[in-house]
Amino acid sequence: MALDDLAFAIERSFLASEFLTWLWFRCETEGGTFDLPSGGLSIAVEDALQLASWDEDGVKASLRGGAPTKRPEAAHALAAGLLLSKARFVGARGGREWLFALDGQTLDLTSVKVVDPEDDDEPEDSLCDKLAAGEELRLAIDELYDVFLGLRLDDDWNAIEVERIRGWVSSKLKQAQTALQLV
Amino acid sequence: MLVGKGALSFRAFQVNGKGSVPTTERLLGRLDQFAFAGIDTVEEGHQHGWIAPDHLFDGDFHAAKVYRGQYAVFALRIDTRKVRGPVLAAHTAIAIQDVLDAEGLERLSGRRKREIKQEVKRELLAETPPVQRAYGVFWNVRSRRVYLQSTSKTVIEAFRTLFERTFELTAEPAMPGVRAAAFAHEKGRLEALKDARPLILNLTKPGVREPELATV
Repeated sequence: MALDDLAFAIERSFLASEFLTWLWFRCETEGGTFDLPSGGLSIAVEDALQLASWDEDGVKASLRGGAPTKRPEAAHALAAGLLLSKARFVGARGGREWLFALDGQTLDLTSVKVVDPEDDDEPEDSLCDKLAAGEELRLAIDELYDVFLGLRLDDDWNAIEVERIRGWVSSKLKQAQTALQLV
Repeated sequence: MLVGKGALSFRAFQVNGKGSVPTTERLLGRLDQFAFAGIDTVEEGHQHGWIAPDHLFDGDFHAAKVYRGQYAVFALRIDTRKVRGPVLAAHTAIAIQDVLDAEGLERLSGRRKREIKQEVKRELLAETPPVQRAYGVFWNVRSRRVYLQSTSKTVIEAFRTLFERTFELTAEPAMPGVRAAAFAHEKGRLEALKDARPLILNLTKPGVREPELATV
């Protein structure tokens, strides 16, 4: 890859944290089930939220434990312009479940744990199965990213999807304010 | 087993180049040729090479061990020999004081102090064992994707350099911007990607500034 192309690509890395935030939005508003070329995938944001502004030197916030996606702090961070920069997710396909973290700068998968359905038959090669499960998740996340990119690069991105995301944040903010008034 | 140990954290790479699906003989032969050879000097620095998947001292690249299902599995070993700064400073101060006492001097020249420091460093390096680390690699050879069980920049750079030298193939990391550029190119949306600016969700302060980006 030429240096100019590389600089261009690196400067578009902000798309990764937009992707994570969009994923969170879709999980909460549409249930988090996606039809992908490799098959259906259900996904949910679980824990260990890190939110940050697009500017590397900007504000960062972390929330973990006790359903952090529902916390008023999360709604306020989004409303203040922070995007999801890292989180722990749970994903499921068929009987298989993955627990994993996704990084909003590199989209690297970290701390991937695979939970397979209870099965009396021992796998022929458990290492091979584990690596294949990791690779399957990687490919599914890449496909999800492509779904996001399709919307992100569409002419209607700002008019439709961004407005929907803003509506979601606004709704979370109202719920947070209600929750805080009840305290 | 070094590969697939514990929870998986990894970086994915696309393998490109002429002969990007190497034969078993070539893959094993090249691993053997670029196998970890050990740190044989007392100089400060890193040494890296490939090892077989079982343990840190496994240099046995047999097909039955390396090929597991659709994957070739092996590991990148990186040994590092380094003297920590505070340890060097403390030993140097003691050595300088010993020289002052032995020669009945009140101070030493800068040059002499540097010589003593270098000598102390040589001695410490000779008695400092290298730190040995290994990072699992699993390569889906047919689908041209290789995975490194590390997300550290230093380890990734060492891996790419060695992988490219070993197999004469490139290993391109699937970074979000690179993937977006490839997607936009394929879908004819490069202009939209060039015009893309970070999403500003800020509901409290409308009209915040947008960043300047390259428009190559």
